[in-house]
Amino acid sequence: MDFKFMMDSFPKIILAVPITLFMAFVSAGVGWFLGIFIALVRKYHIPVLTQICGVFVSFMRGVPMVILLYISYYALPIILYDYGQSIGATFDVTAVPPVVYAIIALVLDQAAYSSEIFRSALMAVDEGQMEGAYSVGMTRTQALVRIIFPQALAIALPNLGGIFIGLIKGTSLAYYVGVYEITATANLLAMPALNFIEAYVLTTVLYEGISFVFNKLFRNFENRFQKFRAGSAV
Amino acid sequence: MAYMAELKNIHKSFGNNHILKGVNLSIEKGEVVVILGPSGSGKTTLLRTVNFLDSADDGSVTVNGFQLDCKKHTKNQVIELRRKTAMVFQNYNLFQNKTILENVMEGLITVKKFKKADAEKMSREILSKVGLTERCDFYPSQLSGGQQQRAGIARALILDPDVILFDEPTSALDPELVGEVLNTIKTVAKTGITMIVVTHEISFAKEVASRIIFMEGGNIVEEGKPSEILVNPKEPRTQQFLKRITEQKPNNDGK
Repeated sequence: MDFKFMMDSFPKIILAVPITLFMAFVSAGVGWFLGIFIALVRKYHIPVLTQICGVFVSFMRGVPMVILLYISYYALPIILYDYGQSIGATFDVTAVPPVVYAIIALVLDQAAYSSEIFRSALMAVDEGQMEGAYSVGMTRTQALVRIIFPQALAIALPNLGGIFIGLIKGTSLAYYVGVYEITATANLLAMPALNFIEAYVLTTVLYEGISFVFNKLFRNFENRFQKFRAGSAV
Repeated sequence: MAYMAELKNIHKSFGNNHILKGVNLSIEKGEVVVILGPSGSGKTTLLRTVNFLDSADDGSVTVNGFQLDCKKHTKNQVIELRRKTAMVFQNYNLFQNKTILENVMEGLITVKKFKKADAEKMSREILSKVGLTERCDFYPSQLSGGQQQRAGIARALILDPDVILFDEPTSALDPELVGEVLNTIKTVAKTGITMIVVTHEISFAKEVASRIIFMEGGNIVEEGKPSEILVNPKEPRTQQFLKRITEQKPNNDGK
């Protein structure tokens, strides 16, 4: 093991942490928002949209992440370019940084997976809660926002924590489309002297550290959001 | 005289199961109507059609002059009708993510648009009336069934509804806790509010009801004052039902 390499490289790899977290946060933010939407559409069987969402979820969960990234990276610019030409405008697709395509792929992936988590969480909230809300005269939207969502979120949190950690590690695949996040940076640094083992040890330490922090954070959220559940102290 | 609540020709099916077969019921202001009947007779379904938790397939529902056709209505009309009623559920259905105080305040704030401070003051008052002063800041899961149900009654009462619906309010309770809830309901009944109660507690029905309705197979079989129905029922089916229930009693208590 080349410890000097490790000492020198670690700070440089840490500089890539923000781009990894940036991808994770944006993808989770947008993806989970879409996920809630899909879950609601499917729970309330909204015609046409339900079928579209069903196919979307099934399709997205069947595509390997790498392929999704490639499709996003190679196909989207072409589609965008052709569309631009058809309306007489020229989009400079090369000006779009690769991280955008990576985020698009990650958003689609997160939307599909989180929608199932939100759907099961919504189903796990007792139907009586909605009836209670209706009985005091609330509208469905009021009931969803004030009564159902807070309870569903508490149920979903452990699983959301899980897919978020998965997402952070999933961002490493953005390496394939040229985003210099943690894994790509480590690889790049390892290349000249073939210090791959050292580089991978460093990335492992970093991912473990990040996962640990977010595990703790989610556990914290859980305790806060679940304080109303049976067995908790006053 | 205009009725406080009126059900006309209520039909309701679940799939091929015809639950309610053209029920008519008129209730005057201040009446306490108790609905009795065997399981599957449609009593709970009938109660739930009043506030459209189960929307009837045919007929009409009128509460305090606001009439709604069961076949043709809008979402907003349903909400308006619901706001004239309140319901106490068998399983309490308290909002699990809110404290007892917040549960009672919720309707005032979101539906009646009260100021928070006013809503809190009123809620604390009504919670002390049902004996839950000490439990205001607890979550439903931290309370006994009886306490939860009393909170459920407070949540319904505070909305000052024209009609309050009780759906087997004591059926999910430990026998020991039934008394406290029934006492609370009796106090409510004395205030002169119009009530429809589905229950299996015969002695409670006798004490609190101004009218008893006996249902069987989706129809009202017999109705009248408690003294008539419970003491001298005319219909054989009512007689049979009451006989079974009163015979069971000693066995249930184990005395």
